[in-house]
Amino acid sequence: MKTANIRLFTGLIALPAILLQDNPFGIMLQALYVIVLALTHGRKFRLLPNLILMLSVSSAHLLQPNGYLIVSIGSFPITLGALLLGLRKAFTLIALLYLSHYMVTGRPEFPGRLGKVISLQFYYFDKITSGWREITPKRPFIKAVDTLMLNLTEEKAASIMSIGKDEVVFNRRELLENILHTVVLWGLFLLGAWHILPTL
Amino acid sequence: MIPRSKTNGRIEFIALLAAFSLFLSTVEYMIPKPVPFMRIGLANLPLLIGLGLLDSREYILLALLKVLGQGLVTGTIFSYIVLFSLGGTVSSAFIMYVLFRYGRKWTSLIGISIAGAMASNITQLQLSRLILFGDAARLIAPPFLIVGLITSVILGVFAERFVETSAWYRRALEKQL
Repeated sequence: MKTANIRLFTGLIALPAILLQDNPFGIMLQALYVIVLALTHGRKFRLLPNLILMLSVSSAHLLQPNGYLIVSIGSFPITLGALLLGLRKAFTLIALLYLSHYMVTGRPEFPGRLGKVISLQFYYFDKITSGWREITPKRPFIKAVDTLMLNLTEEKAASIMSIGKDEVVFNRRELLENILHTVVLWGLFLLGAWHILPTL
Repeated sequence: MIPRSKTNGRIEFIALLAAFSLFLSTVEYMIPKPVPFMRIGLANLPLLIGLGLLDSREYILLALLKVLGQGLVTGTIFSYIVLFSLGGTVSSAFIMYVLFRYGRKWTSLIGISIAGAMASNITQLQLSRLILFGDAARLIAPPFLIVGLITSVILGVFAERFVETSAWYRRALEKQL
């Protein structure tokens, strides 16, 4: 099994632990864990989109008051239940996003005919990216795109069958690391479910 | 029965269009946006171009490859974002294909592009109501639909011009006949 596929399966096993988490503190820790995981595997963290997501989801939930009243801004009530629900949802979405980032680091290969077509798609994607750099002038844009597509069609693509041959590489260390990640994420879920983590 | 070599040729052609869509989505990714989920929809251009070149099964495959490819490149394939992408792409592909097949006489690619964008945006708004914002989703609906309308007109004009002037498109069309 390729290293990238180990990460893919780890993510699939850990997904329910994030989706089922209903402890706000637990989901926050899980989100932090997968963000670090994605960052240490070459992915970038962009603060602004995450902040916008968190603010927009939380404020949307405030429109439906729920639970203890924290403060009123004019006639608008800010309730603890609504705020926690919004935050939990936002953290779940962020955690899933970064888990997904981690799962596809190293480009996993999908099985079957669809997997081969996806490989072929990426083969052409590389060709388009490098071909586009070589095209001059790039204006008018339609003419440049047309030239690019003509060049690519004329090139004989590698056979579908020869693309995406999976290299069987067993990486014990990677496997152990990923078992640890799974245990941590499920452990945080259990700590939340058993009310060992604070509920805020 | 279609010979295997011809089938492979068609699959290569669909993969090429899907790769083009992926390329355009990476171009779009680099364009700054005020709100993360507001998109220009550049990656839909191959779907518009593909209307005249693909049959229904091939068109579905192209739409699927667009979603999967984008999800893999941006790393969002197992997140909620792919649901938005899938919902938007499937609904717009369906509307555009039906309009192209049965209403081409009365509709240009601009009209088809607008219909596709509206179908995609309405589906995504419904999904954002269910997944993200609840009933507050109606607050983002007006700017979301207005931006969708403007970008879909631009995309439709571009697709129309491309189909009229492209030598590659003409050649691909001739191969089909």
